[in-house]
Amino acid sequence: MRESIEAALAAGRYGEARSAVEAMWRAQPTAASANYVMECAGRWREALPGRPWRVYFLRSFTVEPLVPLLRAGGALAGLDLTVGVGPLGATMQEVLAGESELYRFRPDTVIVAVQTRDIAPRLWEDGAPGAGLAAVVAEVVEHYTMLVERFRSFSQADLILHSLEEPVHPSWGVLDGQSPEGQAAAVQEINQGLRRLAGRWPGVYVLGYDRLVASQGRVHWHDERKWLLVRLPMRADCQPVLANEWLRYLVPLAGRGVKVVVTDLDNTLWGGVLGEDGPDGIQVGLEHPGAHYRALQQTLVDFSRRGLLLAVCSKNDEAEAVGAIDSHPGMLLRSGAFAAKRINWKDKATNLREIAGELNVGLEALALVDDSPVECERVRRELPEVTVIELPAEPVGYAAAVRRHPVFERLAVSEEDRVRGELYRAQKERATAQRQFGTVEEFYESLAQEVVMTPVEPAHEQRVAQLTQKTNQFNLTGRRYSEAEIHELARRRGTTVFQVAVRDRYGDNGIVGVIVFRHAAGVGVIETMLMSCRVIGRTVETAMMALLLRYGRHLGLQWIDGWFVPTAKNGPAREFYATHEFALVETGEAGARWRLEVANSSLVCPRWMRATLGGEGDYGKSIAC
Amino acid sequence: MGNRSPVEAPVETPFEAPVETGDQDGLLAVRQRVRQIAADLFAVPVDGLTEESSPDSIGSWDSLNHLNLVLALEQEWGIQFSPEEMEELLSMARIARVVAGKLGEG
Repeated sequence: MRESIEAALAAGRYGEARSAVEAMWRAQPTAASANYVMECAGRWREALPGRPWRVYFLRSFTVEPLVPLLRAGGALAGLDLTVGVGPLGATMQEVLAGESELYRFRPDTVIVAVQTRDIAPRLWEDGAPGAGLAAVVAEVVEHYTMLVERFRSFSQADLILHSLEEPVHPSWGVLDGQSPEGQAAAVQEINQGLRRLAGRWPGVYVLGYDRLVASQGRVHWHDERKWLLVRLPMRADCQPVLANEWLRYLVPLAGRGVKVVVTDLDNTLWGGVLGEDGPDGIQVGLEHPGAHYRALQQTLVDFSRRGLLLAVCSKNDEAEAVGAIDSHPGMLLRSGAFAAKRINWKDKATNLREIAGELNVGLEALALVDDSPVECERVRRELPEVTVIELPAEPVGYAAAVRRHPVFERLAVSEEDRVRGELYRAQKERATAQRQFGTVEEFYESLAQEVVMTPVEPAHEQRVAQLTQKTNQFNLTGRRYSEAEIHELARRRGTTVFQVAVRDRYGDNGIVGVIVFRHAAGVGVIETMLMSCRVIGRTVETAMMALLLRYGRHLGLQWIDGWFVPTAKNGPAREFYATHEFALVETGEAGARWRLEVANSSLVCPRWMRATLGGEGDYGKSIAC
Repeated sequence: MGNRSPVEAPVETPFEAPVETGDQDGLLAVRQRVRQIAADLFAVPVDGLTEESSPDSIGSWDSLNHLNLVLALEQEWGIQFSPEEMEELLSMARIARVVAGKLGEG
């Protein structure tokens, strides 16, 4: 296997090399393989760059051997991780001191990996006094509350708190489960407290450590000898499990999750081959073996609730396949659930490109779920940007293999996410309408678009952060913000974060644009301006700029400066300033700076749309452009 | 229970020889794998390792990497070392011997 990896790397066939390294890593996720993965990743970095992300551990146990596992798994999931590890058991000291290594490291994400036995040794070892346990619970929750509050006063990084773990053998034995004051109940109460705490603070999340330990078997998880010897609590084979769990948070936080799940049909959504077995011969339902396929369908239903789009790509006769999807009694997913379908005899790479085009997303936003090793391998070679999930040989393992993959994780679900499938259906109608009009102006007129730009509302901070994480094409600077950062910026003097909502005759597009605008002493600076690909090519950006100009006049600004920072994907935004009356001021390492003279600008909103600037203060009165 | 299913005939499986110190093929396979693991962990070429290679001759074989080595070996063969055994794993030859010995126990 190593020879084939080396050959692929030497020949510059990086997609193929990465897929072989991934297979090796899946089979042997050890510290030794991790070093080899990182060596290979260094060689494909230029061709397949990962997103840089800095992670810092505050911890009460030895995490060092897990760091290479985390970095290797990250490299294969599109993350270029830099990891810092704080001193053992000095969590609170580091959080309290503004000058500590924790803050100097400038982390994007901080993981608090603390165990029950370290933060609450009395609770872990001794379940004796009922009243004593309640005091311990209050003390631990208070400790975490203070930790989060103080941390937020210094840093807007994401914070992930490990939940606490229940003891394997409670002091009272089975009696522990009979009383509301047992050790297990106390740990659960602390974990409830952590969840409430995370709910109050944007950008704070709980990692279900107890569930993770239980998933591997509590007895199997622990290695008491290594705990006593080197403060490493878990067995070697459980370490990749914890590293993967961290990735399930880091991948969505770093915006490397996918947007579309593309699924095969035969031996994937159902058992058997439709073309050979016929619509009555395929297997899907509540019994063996159809239940395994139905479990995969339930997984996809769950994903669509998180805001992922579903698509089908299968070698089949389209009419026959759609017939089976819509009429087989065992199917959970019907054809309306899929935002795009490619059921034909073309190769999958071509079909996947078309699906990405139809849904207006990049190839890196796609994940393919397929049972055929040959198809999977071809897609990995031809489209290295696509995440390929090759289903295991036994259908009983299908759902789990897909569920545990970090690219499908979301840390927040907005209203937009819940109705995304609906939004895409309206998009399709728009595309059909566009083809019917002679001129593009006629099409714009027919859309009757309404653009509303307001300072970000607290309920939409999460959506705004999500847009900065996920928008690649029309994004002038490519800056990413966490929810906590948006929350903080929205309250900072001299900074305005705008959310832009667009609706038209086909329905509500929701919040599809963001501007982060800094202003002082007569000068405004566009730190970030972006627009979802959902509304690209509909002159929404001109309406946004016209509204920003109006806001600039309201503030009495002399000019508005805008940055353009080129990225691999923001070509569609390159001409924005030049076509909106800005003049180039300078070009340097940091990008290009453009300037708009507020007094001289004649920029207005296009006549085919209505644009409104809303919000507090005297510019709050709706102004039709 | 009138309808007892017939007892299945034992399926013939190829005999797997236990890996012991005396089993030269088994020990050889363990040695090769140990060298690959050590080469990856210590970032040295496989050819650069001998049976005598030890923390004294390999600069990157520090205490953290020793722990990584122990964990990688445990994961590779699904075994667990006692603290005493961990301290013994200090050359390629000794590692292969201890690992082969543990595999033989099972």
